[in-house]
Amino acid sequence: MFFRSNDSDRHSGFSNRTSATAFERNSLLGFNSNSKASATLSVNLNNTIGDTSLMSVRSLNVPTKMSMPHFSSNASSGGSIRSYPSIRNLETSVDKLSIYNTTIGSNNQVVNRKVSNGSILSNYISENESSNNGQENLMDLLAESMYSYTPSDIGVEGYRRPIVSNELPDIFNTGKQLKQENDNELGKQDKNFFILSSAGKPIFIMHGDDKQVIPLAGIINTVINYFQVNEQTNVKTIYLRKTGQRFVFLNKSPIIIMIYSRQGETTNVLQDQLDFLYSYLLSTLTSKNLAKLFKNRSNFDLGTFLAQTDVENLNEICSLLSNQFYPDIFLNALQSNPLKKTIRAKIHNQILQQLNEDSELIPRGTLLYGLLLTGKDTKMTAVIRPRGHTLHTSDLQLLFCLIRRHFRSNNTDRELWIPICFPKFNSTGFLYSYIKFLSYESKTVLVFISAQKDAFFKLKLFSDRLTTKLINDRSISKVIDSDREISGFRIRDIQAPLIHHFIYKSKRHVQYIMPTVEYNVKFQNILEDEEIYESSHSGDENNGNINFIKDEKAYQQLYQMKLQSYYRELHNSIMTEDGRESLNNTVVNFINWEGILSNGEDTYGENPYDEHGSIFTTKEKIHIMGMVWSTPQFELYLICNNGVNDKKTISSSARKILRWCQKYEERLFIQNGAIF
Amino acid sequence: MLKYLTIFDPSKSSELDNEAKDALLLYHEFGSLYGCSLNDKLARIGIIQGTWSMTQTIGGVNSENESVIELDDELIVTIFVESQFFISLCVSTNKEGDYPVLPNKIPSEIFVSHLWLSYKFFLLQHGTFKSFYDVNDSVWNNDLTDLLNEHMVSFWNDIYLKPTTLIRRGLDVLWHDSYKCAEFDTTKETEPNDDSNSSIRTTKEQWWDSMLLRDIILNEESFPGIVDILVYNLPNVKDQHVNESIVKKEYGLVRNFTSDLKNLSDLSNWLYHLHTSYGTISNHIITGNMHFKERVVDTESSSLQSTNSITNDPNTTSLENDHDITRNRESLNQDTDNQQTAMNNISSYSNRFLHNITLPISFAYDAVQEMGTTTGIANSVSLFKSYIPRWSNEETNSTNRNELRRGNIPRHGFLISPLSSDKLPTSYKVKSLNLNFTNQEDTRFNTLFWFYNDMLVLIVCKESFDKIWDISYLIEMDNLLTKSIVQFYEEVLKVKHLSDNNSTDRNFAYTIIDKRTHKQTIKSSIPPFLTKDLINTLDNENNSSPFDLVFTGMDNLLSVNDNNPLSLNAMGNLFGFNSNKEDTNKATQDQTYDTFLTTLSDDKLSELQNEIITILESIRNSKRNKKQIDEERLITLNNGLLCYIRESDDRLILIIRNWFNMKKNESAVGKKTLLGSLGRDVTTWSEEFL
Repeated sequence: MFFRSNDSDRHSGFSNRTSATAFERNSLLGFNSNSKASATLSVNLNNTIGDTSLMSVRSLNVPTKMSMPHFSSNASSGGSIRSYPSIRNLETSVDKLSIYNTTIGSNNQVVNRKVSNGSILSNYISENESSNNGQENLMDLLAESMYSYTPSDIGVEGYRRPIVSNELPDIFNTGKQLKQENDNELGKQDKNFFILSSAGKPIFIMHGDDKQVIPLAGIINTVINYFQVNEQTNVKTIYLRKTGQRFVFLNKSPIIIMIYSRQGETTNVLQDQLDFLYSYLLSTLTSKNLAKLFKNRSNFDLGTFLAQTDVENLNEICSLLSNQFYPDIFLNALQSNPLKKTIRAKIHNQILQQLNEDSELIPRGTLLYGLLLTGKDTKMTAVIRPRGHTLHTSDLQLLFCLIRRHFRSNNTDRELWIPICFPKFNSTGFLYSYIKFLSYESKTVLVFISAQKDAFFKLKLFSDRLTTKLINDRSISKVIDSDREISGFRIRDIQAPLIHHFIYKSKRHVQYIMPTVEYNVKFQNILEDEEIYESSHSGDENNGNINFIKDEKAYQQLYQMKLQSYYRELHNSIMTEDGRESLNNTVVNFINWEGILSNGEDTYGENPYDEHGSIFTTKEKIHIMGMVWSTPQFELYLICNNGVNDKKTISSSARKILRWCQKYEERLFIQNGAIF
Repeated sequence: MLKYLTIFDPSKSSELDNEAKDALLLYHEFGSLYGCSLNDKLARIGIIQGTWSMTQTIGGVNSENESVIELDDELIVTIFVESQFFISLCVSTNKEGDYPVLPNKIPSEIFVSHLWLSYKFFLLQHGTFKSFYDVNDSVWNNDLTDLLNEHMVSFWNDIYLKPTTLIRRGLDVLWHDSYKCAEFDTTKETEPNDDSNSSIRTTKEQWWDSMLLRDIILNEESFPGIVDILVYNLPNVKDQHVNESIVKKEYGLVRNFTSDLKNLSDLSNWLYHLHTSYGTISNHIITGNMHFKERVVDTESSSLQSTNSITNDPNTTSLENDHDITRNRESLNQDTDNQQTAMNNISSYSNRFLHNITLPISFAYDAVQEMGTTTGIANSVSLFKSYIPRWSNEETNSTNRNELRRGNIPRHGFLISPLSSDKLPTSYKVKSLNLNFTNQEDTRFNTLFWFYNDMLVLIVCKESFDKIWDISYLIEMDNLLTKSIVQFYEEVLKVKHLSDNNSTDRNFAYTIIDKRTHKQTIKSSIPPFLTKDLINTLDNENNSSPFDLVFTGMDNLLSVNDNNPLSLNAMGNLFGFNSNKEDTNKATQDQTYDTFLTTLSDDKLSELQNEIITILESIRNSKRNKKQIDEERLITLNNGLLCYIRESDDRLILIIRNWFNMKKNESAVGKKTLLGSLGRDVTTWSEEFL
């Protein structure tokens, strides 16, 4: 039984390739869904969401003539890409409503959605198809309205905002923050990282030029040494309450690391980040070598000793920790790649079988650990490990960071042999990682870790044989040798209405899952009208975040930072400062953000129209809810679509996600891996 | 718990011809017999200043005025005031200290708030630090150091000796810019400054507040000399054995008559602090002559004490004979050989300072001891009363005493007024405070304090208003005030007691902070997170009762000798009238008042307090666009409590309720919203009050 992600895939004129992608994904995951109609739709019809007046047939059957000339012309042009789809564009066909009380037909409906990995999963619903396909298609449209496209507008007479929008509003000023990240001047960023030697020599500092940094390094060093020498204690944090700035220190002589942040993380989270940075340094040097370098030479300049790659890696890690969506650290878990149980078992069996066959080539003790990773997020697909041994999460996170950077730098090397120290495993020595990139398209990587530094050729040979074996298996080759990244699942695959995104962490497995990160490009399309855009935004620094949206890559980053901000707020809401994991063993916390978000109010004033009478988004009504549910078994973080303020529905969706995760636990998480 | 307190002005050390030590205005170590060297002190203030500069440079934000440095087992809390001065407090977080260990660690937020309060109370009484700068000599006037010693050291020393003070006011203390308003469950309830209501009510004659307005403030004899009258209700939970939540709700400012008083928060918080620290408010407390006695006894300091001249003039408590560290700069500049000697002297100064403060009490106590020795009669304090002139025949009658204790026989009179004994210094006749009625610079006003049982009334007069020195005028004012407050009891408290049984808000408690600058009010029914048992235990551990008893005896002595019936000295129930037996009876009667919070143990309460502070701090740190977006949270804790919090640009609402107490179908109606999930009673309440 295969799960069908959404009926609209079948009816909406999807390209064959896209349909195939969805089909392949679900066949690999093996999720089961019996419902023909999207679950999202059914709840949408049965619950009151947002502005209830909009749920009535009367209110849905609004005149198609738009009050705004810009959009009315698009609406009449028959579904151009720049049309402004919304509930108000839908015409109600009363006959087709009879079963569900409310069913909607559409004249012009364009859904243009992108998945962050670049593959288009868009539904193009043509005018004719939508009118002919009847009830199911109409239901799809309503379901799609849950993922609707428009930033909701208010304050415009005659124009009603959609009931629910999945445009994630930027309520944390993330755009501004993103812009500041590009400014290297000290004091302009929300976050900065300082790595110094105990003698006060700068080793690595993320932002700031030498002139600013060197005196500062001296002060940081003095502060730490003062407390250590005079008061026999260590400074842990400096917290400035009014402005919410936090300085967290880690003194691991001969290395001192400090993080500055005003992003609102708790001390505990920042301490984990410090530890992660320190672990990276150890992973390249080992604690033994580090001590040796500084022995009798406390003034040693480690900054010049580090290779360019190390600096790049440090930059990458700092960037991950400050302005990218990287839940691994705050969750202290690894992302797993959901996969059908039988396929994963087959992969594990193939590996074990090959290991048995090559027992002479790879004698016991040669291979310590093996991993099969998929996707640019380095999701774990398979694990090979000796009985009774596991690697620490943060050690693996370090390794994954290296692989991610390899993807980002577009390095085309197919094989790598890297000595790497896993500090939590053994901080004094190196292990050796054989990394083989099976497919750059699907971002599949095979990793073997060995304690023997001359094991490269053995592992290479073993890897080649194993790869051949895996590729020969049709079902496995779909995972590891695809020409595109098809891993993961979408939020639509779960019958959890109104949920925009979620993260589920299984504490037992120390793994988490989340749906593929999707974002709308509709907002970008609106802004493609350069005349409107330029005339209203030129020279206004306050609207820097909107300028970013012009660049799709920046928009993608902005979207990810928005997600990161939401999850950070959710996570902070249950964390204590002093390192306890959560306020209580079991906590359920709902957060509701509401208000009217105004972008560039100073520019627009109260008038949302430009001189031509056209509209651009000036104010957005916010009604967005999030939830954290933490128990000794799991943690669930979720963010709803904008416009949702019904706690009951969210609780119900959260329970559905939970049930879904528990039901498919064996597919979602790697249980034991291949044990040899 | 507390390690040291320091106040310094780094700008002084950076000036030419000045030395580093010139920056130091105050340095006080708590409970230390041997103080640290000047170099150590300078190093400490240097590092505080250094960290401050570092954070400013890296953060690029100059608007900061609070910092908390967390060390392994210490906290250094610093506030930056008047763009020039640092006030820093170092606290040991090590639980193995010799001072009473509270159930849980006290969050740093509470220390920060108290640091602000100590500064603001100083402003209220003495003005800004800058006002002490001697422009001609370009140096700080020595008076500043004297006053800092008198005020700041006393403030923090009381906390050092009685750490429960920090958490006795509950969560209110976190908002040091806001003041608690009293709420009563009657239709006649009014908000302070809300003149609109009173104008409506003038249609009926003789409302209690209109009496105050008409007969005192607008009276032709008083106008415009009396600027404002502030009426506070300060009931004591410990004494009353009633629902803590209701006591908390009714605690605070009941009424004042002008909206111009800008530092109303500081004035109110000062009174609340005095009340919670000492358990009552008396003339000695208001004048600042009453402090807790140091427990540390060492032979050296004892000998020093014995050599001090003993005087019963309370003026001596204003540190005229005191030696503080910074005033002894000369001795500190001596050769290093002499430094150790100087340090030994310094270490005893704090003891001597406190000793001097409490000299009048010690004197009276010694007198009793002496009397006991010479007459061969046991010198127990219970016998003390039989040797001193009696209050009145009625008051020694046990029946009447019980009546008095229960409030059936009201006690009232001036605490601070020119009616006080001539033997007492001026500070007992009028209390001069820096108040701001015009949003410009603070001006000094004379204040009189009057009480009626648990009600405290402050009469704020201009300094030029001489009428207050007229005894007949004061006696008339006493009558008018009595009449008005009696009316208040009739109008408000009686109605309140009738409605007590039907009170609907027993299963939840709330705090509402109005953040608008012109209001800044706190309405709260969340009691402090300490059980009465713990308060009693800790109080008895720390401070022996003879201190208080002797003071009461002194008051009676002075009152009767002066033959002045209005010279009553402590509001509410006098210390001596509390009887354990009576308390037990009263507690049994009021058992029905227990709320869900009173059922929790000390550990749970303390944990809950810290969790709520964490939640509050978390929402405070929220990075949302605070001007445009409101945030609300509903947290279900596994101890069965639901915590709702909503923060908008102008208001913060916190509601706690017991989830287990909710009926199954109670919240079904409102489950869609976060507030509605708290149950029907909360929804009903919110419709009326939010």
